[in-house]
Amino acid sequence: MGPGNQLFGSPLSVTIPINLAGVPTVYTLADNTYGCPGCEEFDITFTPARGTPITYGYFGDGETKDYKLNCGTTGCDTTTNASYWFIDGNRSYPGDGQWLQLVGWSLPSNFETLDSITFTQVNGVDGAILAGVTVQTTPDQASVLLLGARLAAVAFLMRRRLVR
Amino acid sequence: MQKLLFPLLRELCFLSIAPSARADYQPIDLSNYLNLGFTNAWFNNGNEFSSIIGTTNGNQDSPVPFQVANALDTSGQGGNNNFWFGLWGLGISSSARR
Repeated sequence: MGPGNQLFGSPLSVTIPINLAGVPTVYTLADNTYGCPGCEEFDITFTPARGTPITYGYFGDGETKDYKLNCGTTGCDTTTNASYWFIDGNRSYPGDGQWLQLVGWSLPSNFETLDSITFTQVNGVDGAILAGVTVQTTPDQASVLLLGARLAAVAFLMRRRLVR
Repeated sequence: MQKLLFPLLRELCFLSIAPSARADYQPIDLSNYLNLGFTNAWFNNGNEFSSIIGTTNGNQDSPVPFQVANALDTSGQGGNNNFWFGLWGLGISSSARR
């Protein structure tokens, strides 16, 4: 099946368990069929283990584009500072082939553990296309403190050696 | 000298195995969502979607790696195809709808 075979029904969302702490940024590789500039095509919701979920929208010509590099739908230019993965074609825009847009979503520093990510279709005609999800992780605070303590110990020993 | 050398070497050994303070990327495996039925369905590349180049370790000037689901071809073209996940149909209401 492909974009020419649009399907209807529910649910029109998918929830992906993550269960990771210390996630500053989540990256997605996504696109949509058709679309239009400024239209909300689909959403992403970050659900913490505790607290209130945060939802962001993928808007046409902003966070998402027509996967067909179609100037007549989501515009004829790339989003500023966005990265794209080109599939087939001449790897240029506009051109032939397809592309996927890489979007990075920053989470608040107090977000704690990221329990899950949910993608929800918003526009009933334009289908969201999701190809990849990658979370950026940072070392836990205890590990960083341990590293700092050991660096300090080495510095102390070297200093004592120099003084003698 | 030996009294100092041993603890110094010990600390350096611990440092070598200590976790790095840099951020890491953790690609999420989406292949579990391969068989969600007709509403939420993966579709293979087939004629419409060809292989996504460099699916596992970033590509095309991007430092971010992705793990794109890989599954046996069902379109009769042979080989493995990368899968994209599609959400179709009537969704939730939105003020930004067309």
